Amino acid sequence: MMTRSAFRKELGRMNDRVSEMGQETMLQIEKTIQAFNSMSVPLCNEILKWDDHIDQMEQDIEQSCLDIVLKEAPVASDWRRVASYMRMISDIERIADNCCDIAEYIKRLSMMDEVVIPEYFDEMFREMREMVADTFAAFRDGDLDKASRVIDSDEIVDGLFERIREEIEQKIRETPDMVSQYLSYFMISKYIERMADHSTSIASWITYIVKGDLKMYFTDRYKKDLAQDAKDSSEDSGENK
Amino acid sequence: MEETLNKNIKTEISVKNLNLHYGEFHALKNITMDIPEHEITALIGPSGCGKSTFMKTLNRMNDLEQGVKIDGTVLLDGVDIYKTMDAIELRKRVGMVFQQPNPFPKSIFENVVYGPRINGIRNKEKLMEICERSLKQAAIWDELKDRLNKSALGLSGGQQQRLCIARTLAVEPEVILMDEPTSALDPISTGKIEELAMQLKKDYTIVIVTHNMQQATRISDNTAFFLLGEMVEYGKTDDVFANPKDERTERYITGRFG
Repeated sequence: MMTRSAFRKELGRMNDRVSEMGQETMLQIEKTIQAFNSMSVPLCNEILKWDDHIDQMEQDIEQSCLDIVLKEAPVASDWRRVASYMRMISDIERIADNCCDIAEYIKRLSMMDEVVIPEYFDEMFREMREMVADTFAAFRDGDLDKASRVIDSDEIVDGLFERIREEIEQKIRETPDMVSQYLSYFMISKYIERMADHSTSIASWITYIVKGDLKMYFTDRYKKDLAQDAKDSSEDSGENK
Repeated sequence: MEETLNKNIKTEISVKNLNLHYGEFHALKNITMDIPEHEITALIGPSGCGKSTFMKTLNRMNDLEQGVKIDGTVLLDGVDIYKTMDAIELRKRVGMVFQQPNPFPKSIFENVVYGPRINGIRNKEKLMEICERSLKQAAIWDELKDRLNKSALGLSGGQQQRLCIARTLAVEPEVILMDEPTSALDPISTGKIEELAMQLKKDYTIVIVTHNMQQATRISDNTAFFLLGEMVEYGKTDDVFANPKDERTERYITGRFG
């Protein structure tokens, strides 16, 4: 006999609402890319306005999670779901916030003299967009391979961010009077990089829901730095010999 | 079944291939488990799954019942409790607390020192010392020290249960078996017993049968899930409740079957 059927239904509803929040955020990303390509202020305003709706979705899902924890004391896969939803919606909401951050900078750029857009922006937007889309597809289908590919893709976006940063640094040196424009582009690239990070974090929670393994892929730049330091020091000691 | 317990902790009770039949009914099926010293091990599972029957085999509460046949081994500190240990000696070392508090219709003092008296201790001072130590260990000394000669039956349910725990502690066992010790108690008394169990594990090994999943997650280090006489899964409590290995455990603890 199946018991706790109301609880099961509520969990199912929450799953649908997290998916729906993901889809809404995906639309915000599409609009952001479109606004960036067209420097459209009305589209930016639309993105900024729609953010309240996503914030409200986050609050509603969070309240449902808290109610479930209080009333149902979930365990095992139920617990993993509820705990993960709470973390995932916060990442999704941050991705939507980053769309607004980018929209604000597009509005600034639209009021300034045009400059040549740094080369790797299209690619960076495309990679990030695909990561987020794959993340929500992985969530919908419980697809661990897809989640794992998302996690691996984060390095690509990090690499593109680094290239854009170098390019912008170069451009600022060459045309110092355009520094405002390039700083705006730099900030936009940083937000895209953050969106990919949030996507990676969501993918980690999907793995936790399905397998129970909790391995967070936080922005572990400090680890990369440590690894680099270790490599440098071993090379140094090699030279000393 | 996968063993996921900490191998560094000493085993207090080692059960191997334990089978128990009530006549034709096969109530425990080939149970093998090591119960670690100074930890709390919870036994969970639906009614009739064999968890209480299993617990009773640990201090031989059921081998003299008619029609019961037990085979396999249960070692307490390496000694076979069915082959080479006397039942009286065993019950001194493995005490039990029941679902319903069962104080004797005697004074509080006489309840606590009942076991030591049976074991031949006559010295009044010595008995008083045991009474005080046991009541303190059971976290009830302050409440009862001024009324030791009053009847134990006048205590509240929660106090009676802690008195019963003190009575168990008075004979200085190594293991305490608790059979749903809080199912008849209100949440405050339940909280006190749980806190007590967590304090007592420093000195004792505790095995607890509970129907309260939250209680198992709150207080136990290890959890064993029983179903239809079989031990389906046994591991660290955090693992069993966050990520059970067996689908049947998952279904039971999440309430997917009644």
